[in-house]
Amino acid sequence: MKLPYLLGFVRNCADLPSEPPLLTELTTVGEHGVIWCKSPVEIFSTKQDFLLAMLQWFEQIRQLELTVLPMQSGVSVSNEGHLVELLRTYERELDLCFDKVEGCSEYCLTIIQRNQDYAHLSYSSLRENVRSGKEYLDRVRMWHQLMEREVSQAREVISNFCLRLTPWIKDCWSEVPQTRGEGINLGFLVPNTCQPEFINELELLLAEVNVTDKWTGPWLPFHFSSFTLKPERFLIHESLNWGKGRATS
Amino acid sequence: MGDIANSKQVTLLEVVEKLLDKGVVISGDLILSCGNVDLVYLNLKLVLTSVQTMLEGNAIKKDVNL
Repeated sequence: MKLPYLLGFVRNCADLPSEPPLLTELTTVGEHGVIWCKSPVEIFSTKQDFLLAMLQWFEQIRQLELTVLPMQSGVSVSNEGHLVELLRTYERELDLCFDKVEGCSEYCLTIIQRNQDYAHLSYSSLRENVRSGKEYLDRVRMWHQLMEREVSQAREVISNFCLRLTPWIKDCWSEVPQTRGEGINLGFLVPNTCQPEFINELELLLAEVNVTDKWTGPWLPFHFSSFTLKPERFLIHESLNWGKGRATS
Repeated sequence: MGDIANSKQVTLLEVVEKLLDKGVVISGDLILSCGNVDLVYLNLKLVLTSVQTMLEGNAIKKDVNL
């Protein structure tokens, strides 16, 4: 059974070059098209090979100066016939999303918070050598105050970056660290015409706040292709499992 | 030099992996396929059951109702 694995949507694209290892196909309805390929687990022997091929594919898209709404990994449809149904069902959502991201790319940045107070402290260590219930509760209270301060600091960093880069971006996305030691994730939707100015300002800002973390991009607008596909009967979430023996990451 | 190039690539692949979790997403209930063989019904309320078990369960309920 061939399950078309979805890579992304395009608008006003009649033809798309297809090169190994990721041999892509295009199905169009009107001005919208969906790019798909065979299931990655049938093409690649390791997850790393798959990720590498995706990286090459993103580069091809960039060179073609195409705007693609990328798909979340692992989405397939039960057969090719449903690709047309998919495009017809989501015509309006596609137009709205393309109107937002057309001619834009995403840049990503992860800022690791260094020099944190009590950097070594973990939640599990709160119970170590505890002598009384009161001492434990005091430690938990301190833990929550610490977390509150770190979240507040992370929000301040996010706000500073987004505000400073506003003239060069169309939108921004951010994620505060989910646990201690994780980085602050930022995504910026940048019009392709503003890329040099954006990069210049970003580099200046990173130097000013003494952050050595590197930005990456341009990527497809992953964090800004924000519409969701409802659980249609033909949509499948395919398990991308290369097996323990073969997966490298 | 090769190590630096490789480490940069590994970092980029990590970014690719993280990014691939985003994009146009499916919401709600979905069908999960494993190697084109087993189909399981995944409910986002974290109830995971095999389609067959679910169908059998429905059949038993019908019998009880009869």
